[in-house]
Amino acid sequence: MKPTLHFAATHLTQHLTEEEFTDSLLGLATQQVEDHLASCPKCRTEADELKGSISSFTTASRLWAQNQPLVHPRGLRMRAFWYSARPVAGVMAAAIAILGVAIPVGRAHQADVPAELAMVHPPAVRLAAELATETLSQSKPASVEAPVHSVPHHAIVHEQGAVSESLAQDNALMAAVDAEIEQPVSASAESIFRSTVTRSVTP
Amino acid sequence: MPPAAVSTAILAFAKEAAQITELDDIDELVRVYRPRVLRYVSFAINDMDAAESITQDCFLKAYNGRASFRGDCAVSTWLISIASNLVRDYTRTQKFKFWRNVRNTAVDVTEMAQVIASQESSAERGMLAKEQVARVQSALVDLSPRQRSVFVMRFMEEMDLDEIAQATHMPVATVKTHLHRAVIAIRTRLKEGGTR
Repeated sequence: MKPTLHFAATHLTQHLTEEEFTDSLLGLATQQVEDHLASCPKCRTEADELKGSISSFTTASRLWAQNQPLVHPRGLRMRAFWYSARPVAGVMAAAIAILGVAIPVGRAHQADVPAELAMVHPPAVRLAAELATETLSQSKPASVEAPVHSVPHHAIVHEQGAVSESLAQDNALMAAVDAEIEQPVSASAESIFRSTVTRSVTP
Repeated sequence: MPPAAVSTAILAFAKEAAQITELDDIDELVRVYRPRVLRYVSFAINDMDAAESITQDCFLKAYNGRASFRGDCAVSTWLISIASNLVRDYTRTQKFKFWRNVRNTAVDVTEMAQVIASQESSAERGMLAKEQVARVQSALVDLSPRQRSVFVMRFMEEMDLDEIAQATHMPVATVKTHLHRAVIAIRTRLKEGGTR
C-alpha cells in the first residue's frame, strides 16, 4: 500500500509531465493520469484548451476541404485512360517496328535480293529501282507495262554489278601494292635508305 | 463450419467486392474521398498548388493500382497511404529547391477561420475559434514534415496509431514519438499566444 499512497500523493501535488499530457490527448492515458486530470483544475483547463484548439482546427479544415471546388475529373479520366492504354500502345509500337523490318525484307525476298542488301542499302535499292523504272518506261511502248516484280530485279542486278566492279578494282590495286612490296630492294636504293637513316639519327 | 463463421466470411467477401467495385469507378472514388485526401495533403505540405496535383496523382495511382488493393484496410486508409508516399517524395525533392516560396500558395487560414467563426453562437466565441485555428495552423507550419504528417493523420483524419504506422511505413513507437513532439510544439505555441 505504501507505494500506491506515495504515487497518489505525488499526483496530487505535481502536474502532468509533457508525456502524460500528450498521452491523455492521444487517448493513451493511464487511469492515474485520468484521475489527476479529474482532480487538478489547472491541468484539466490546459488539456481542454488544447483539445478545443485542435478540434476547432479540425472542424475548420473539414469545412474548408468540403468547400473546395471539385475539379472536373475529365483530365484525370484522360490520364487514367492513357495510363491504362500504355500496354496497348506498347504492342502497337512493337507491331509497327516489326512491320518496318518485315516489309523491306519481304519486298527484297520477292525481288530475289539478299535481305542484307535490302536492309543495309534500302535508299540505294529504292533509287536504283526508280531509275530502272524510268529507263524501262522510256524504252518500252506505253501500251506495254512491265511486270511489277521485274523492275526491282533489274535494278538490283545493276546495283550488284556496280558493287562487284568496284570490288574488283580495289582488289587489283591491293594486288599491285603487294607485288611492289615483295620485290627485292636494289643495292642503290638500299644505300640511299641507309644514308638517310644515319643522317636522321646522328645529332 | 459454424453458421456465424459462414456469415462473417460472406460479409467479408461482400465488403471486399463492394470496395473493388468502388475502386473501379474513378468519378465516384474522387467524389467520395477527394476532400479527405486533399485536406491531408494540403496540411501535410502546406502548398495548395502542389496539393491539388498530388491529390490527382494519388487518385490516378489508386485507380491504376486498384488490383493490388487487398481489402485489409479501409479505402480511405489505403488512399492516405498512397498520398503519404507522394507527400514524402514531394518533400524530398523540395528539400533541394532552396529558392521555393511555399507561403505564396499556402492554405488560407483566414478563410478557414471565418468558416469556423461563422458557426459559433457568439461573436466572442467566434473570435476565440479564429485565434485557435490560426495558432494551430501557425504551429503546424513549423513542424517537421513527418511530425506534421502524423499529426494531421491522427487529429484531422482520426486514424489510430496502427493505421498511421501502416500508411507511413513507420513503427508504431516512431509514430508515437513524432506525435509527442508535434503535440509539445503545438502546446508550446498555444501557450505563447501565437506570437512569433
